Amino acid sequence: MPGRTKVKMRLLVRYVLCGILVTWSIIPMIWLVSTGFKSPGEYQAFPPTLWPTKPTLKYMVSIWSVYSAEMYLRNSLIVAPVAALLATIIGCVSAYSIVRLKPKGGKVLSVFILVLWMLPPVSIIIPLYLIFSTVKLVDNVLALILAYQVFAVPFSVWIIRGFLQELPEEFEDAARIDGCSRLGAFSRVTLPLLAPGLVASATVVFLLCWVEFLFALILTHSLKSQTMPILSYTASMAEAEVLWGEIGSIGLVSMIPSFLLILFLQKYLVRGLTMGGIK
Amino acid sequence: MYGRSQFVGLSNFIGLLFDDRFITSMGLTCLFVAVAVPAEFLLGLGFALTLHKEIPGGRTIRSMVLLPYVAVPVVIGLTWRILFNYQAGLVNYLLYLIGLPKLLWLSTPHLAFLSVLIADLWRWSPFATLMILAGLRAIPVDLFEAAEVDGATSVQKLIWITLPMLKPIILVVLLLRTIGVFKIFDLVYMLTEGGPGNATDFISFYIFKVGFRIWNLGEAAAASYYLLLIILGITFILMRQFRTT
Repeated sequence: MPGRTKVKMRLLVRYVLCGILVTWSIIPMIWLVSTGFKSPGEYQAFPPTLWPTKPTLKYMVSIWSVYSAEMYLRNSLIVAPVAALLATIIGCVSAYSIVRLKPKGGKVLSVFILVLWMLPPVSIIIPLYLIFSTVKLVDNVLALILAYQVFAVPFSVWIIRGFLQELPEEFEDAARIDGCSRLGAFSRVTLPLLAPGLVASATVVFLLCWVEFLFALILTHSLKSQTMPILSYTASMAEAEVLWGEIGSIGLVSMIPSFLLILFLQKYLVRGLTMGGIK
Repeated sequence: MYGRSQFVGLSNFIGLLFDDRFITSMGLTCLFVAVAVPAEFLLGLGFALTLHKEIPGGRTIRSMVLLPYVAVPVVIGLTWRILFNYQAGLVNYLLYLIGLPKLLWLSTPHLAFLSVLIADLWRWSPFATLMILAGLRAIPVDLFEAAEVDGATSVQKLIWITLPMLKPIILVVLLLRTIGVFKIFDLVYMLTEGGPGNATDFISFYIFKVGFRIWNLGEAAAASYYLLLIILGITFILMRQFRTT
């Protein structure tokens, strides 16, 4: 049956194309991770090796014992989730006010919030740095958490706003007719329905904060508050030579949350990103 | 460092307009935006059309294609520095395999620009893919069925149904990415540090250097305002386009 062969050929072409796409997407990541396990000097070998010929755990050990990666990891694990939680709470309240209380100028307000997101981080960091040094918060994780709200809150508001607009207002009206207060209707009816939106917002914001570099570079100076991206940066700026083995291992550790997000929260990540953009 | 300040009027703003390095950096950034944004979009469209059709294993494939987007930009920059390494990088090895000479990717001006572009495309085309995939799902299937009944070819369907239906999404992607590319910082810092010379001295990195290496915060702030004005201007134009559709 020629028709059948044609269908099979098409499927084959599709798989080949997908194969190329996947290769392009994951080879750099694999390359980085394998660099972390190559024995000293092997990364300079020509022809280069994809898999380490003599794998070593030397660097995976030294990033903890010599470079105190656990401190950076701890700071990242404080900053990103707390910032995500805070932004999602603020975002939820703000989005609810804009969508449901319909204040005068609400539309202008949401566009203004969008403009906040457009601000280039490099221009916000100057005033932020001056403010945080005045209140003596430089080199404190709290400064990072607060600074991240600058871009996290607009994102969160836009994502949750999109989800809220999809929920029929009648649900809440019905609850209020049955005697719920506005707060009661919000917490008993809207909030549970909004849960996917809140998870989406928290996921996206967590990711943004986890990978953030510039604010952390300017606002943190010591192990007390530096985050994982700063550790990679420090390793690349080492005095004698670039510490590629360490960078590979640090890279692997700092990518783990990203892998987990893709594995377990992909649905929310995708919905959050598209909702923030489309609505 | 900022203890005593003096009001200097508009001198920072005016000075910048006659500052060659600022103007060069702005021009370079605009050039980069003009190349990177359409390229990200076209790659994303191609990826999305490839991934759209449901096939066995499609979910896993989509996850892997999405991976660069969730990676840490600093780490991505360093990864590409390994890949572009002159002596033992993968890119030069591939060139060697097809019989071409090795290239000094990160220390030749035009190639450095291209290197940043490639790394940027790697990181951001998955974002366009994601958005366009969401858009593709929203197109009603009966449109395609009707077109098939009328004997339309795949190319005709793409031009007359898919692209017009995707127009709002396409505008959103272009808007978000234009803003995003103007902000490019981490990748440039890790990959080329604005060099060689000022070949990849994009505006965000330029402002960073003026502000935090020379500690001229006033000039950096003024430059930031120009950057913001440009971003707002472009947003305004694209938004108007958006409203007319």
